[in-house]
Amino acid sequence: MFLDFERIWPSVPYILQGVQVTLAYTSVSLFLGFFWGTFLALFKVSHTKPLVWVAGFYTSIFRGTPLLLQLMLIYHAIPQLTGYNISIWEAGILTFTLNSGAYVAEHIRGGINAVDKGQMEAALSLGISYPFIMKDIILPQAIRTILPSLVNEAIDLLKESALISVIGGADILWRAQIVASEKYLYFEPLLIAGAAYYVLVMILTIAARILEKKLKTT
Amino acid sequence: MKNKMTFNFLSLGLCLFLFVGCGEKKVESDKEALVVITSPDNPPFEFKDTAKGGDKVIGFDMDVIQKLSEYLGRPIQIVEADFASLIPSLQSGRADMAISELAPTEERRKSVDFSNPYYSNTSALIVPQNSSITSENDLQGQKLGVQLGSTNEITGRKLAEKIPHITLLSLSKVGNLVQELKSGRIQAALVAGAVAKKVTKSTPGLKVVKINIPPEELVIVFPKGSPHVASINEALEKIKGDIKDIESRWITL
Repeated sequence: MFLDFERIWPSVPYILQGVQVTLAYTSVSLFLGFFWGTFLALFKVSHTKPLVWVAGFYTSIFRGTPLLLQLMLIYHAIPQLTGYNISIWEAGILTFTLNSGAYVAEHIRGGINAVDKGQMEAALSLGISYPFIMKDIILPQAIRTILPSLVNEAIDLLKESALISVIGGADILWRAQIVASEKYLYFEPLLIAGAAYYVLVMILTIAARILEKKLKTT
Repeated sequence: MKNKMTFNFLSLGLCLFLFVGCGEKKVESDKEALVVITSPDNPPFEFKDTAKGGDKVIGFDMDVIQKLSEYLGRPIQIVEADFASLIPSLQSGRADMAISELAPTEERRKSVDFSNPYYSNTSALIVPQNSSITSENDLQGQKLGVQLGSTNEITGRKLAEKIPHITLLSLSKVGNLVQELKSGRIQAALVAGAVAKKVTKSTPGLKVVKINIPPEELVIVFPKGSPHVASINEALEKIKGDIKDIESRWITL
């Protein structure tokens, strides 16, 4: 197989400009998704049945349908239903946040359950109120336990953000496809896009390892 | 320490959100500019010169729309989308019109309106250099690739009715068809003549085969009931000579 990188070379900067777009989608959705997920997790561990049902139903919807379908529905259906012309950026952030939140909620719920029951009982007997027990005692420990799975979520999100290219978000993959269709060369731009994603994921992995070590020592 | 870190994270996220939000192109425009949607992955009709930064869509269709805008005295705003979401985008009111080597198919007529034709788009076959296909009649029993939703898909269907045992494969981009040709999964690709020329020029090992099929007309596509159809038709009539010039600039057959 013969690869023609020479013709692709001048277009590499164009593809790499997608890195900041990909990172923007990933970081903002991860950030918002984390808070949304924490919120949902609190629903899930609460003792009020309707809250548990709502959160359970929500998770089942977002985990039970393809992310690509959710993205296309949000992007194309919202203007038709509400008249609000949702932009690619907004549709992407909304979908990725809602979807990631569903997964993060499951992780956090697991983390909360992993914290020894005795701690909750002890805190209650000391007269600390439930919100403060959660915020100051349970959640910090839960999050430390689930840090590895949160990093996994970040890596997943980084790669899944490539779906934004389907509705025209100018991320790494979209740009690679634009170059591919301009030059009628497929492998080369896609290989460059692949390398860009790989480097990003590696950076994320290493950063997470350092963070994990730091949290262990404190 | 911990609170400070949370704060830092919060502000970082907020900054990113605001920063990127500002950079995003606004789809809603002021009342003056016509929003034109296109799929910039189809040289020479609409594509990007990515080696030069690629921030502008160029090509035959873009020059036509530019001339229309000059004639009408209204600025235009180009919005990029994937080919498959062009028509949904018109329906959801994201754009005033679409120009993207589109043909007036009966199926599309149910959901959108068309301008008068602005160009007669001839079709041609791309085949591997060593292929024995010399006309459309040799396609019997072969696998033929066409671009999904393009004029050539219609022409391909007509060919398949005329010539027995053609298997049609519809893919979303011309680039995919070229890739399929190179890997031998299809024996020929039916594309616009201008596209065939462009492909074979830049891709070694492929050649053009002319076929004897009437051309398909290209149109500008509007949302149903659009108020712009009449003025665009009138302007198209006036810029006929300019379209000839534009053709000679982009399309060499």
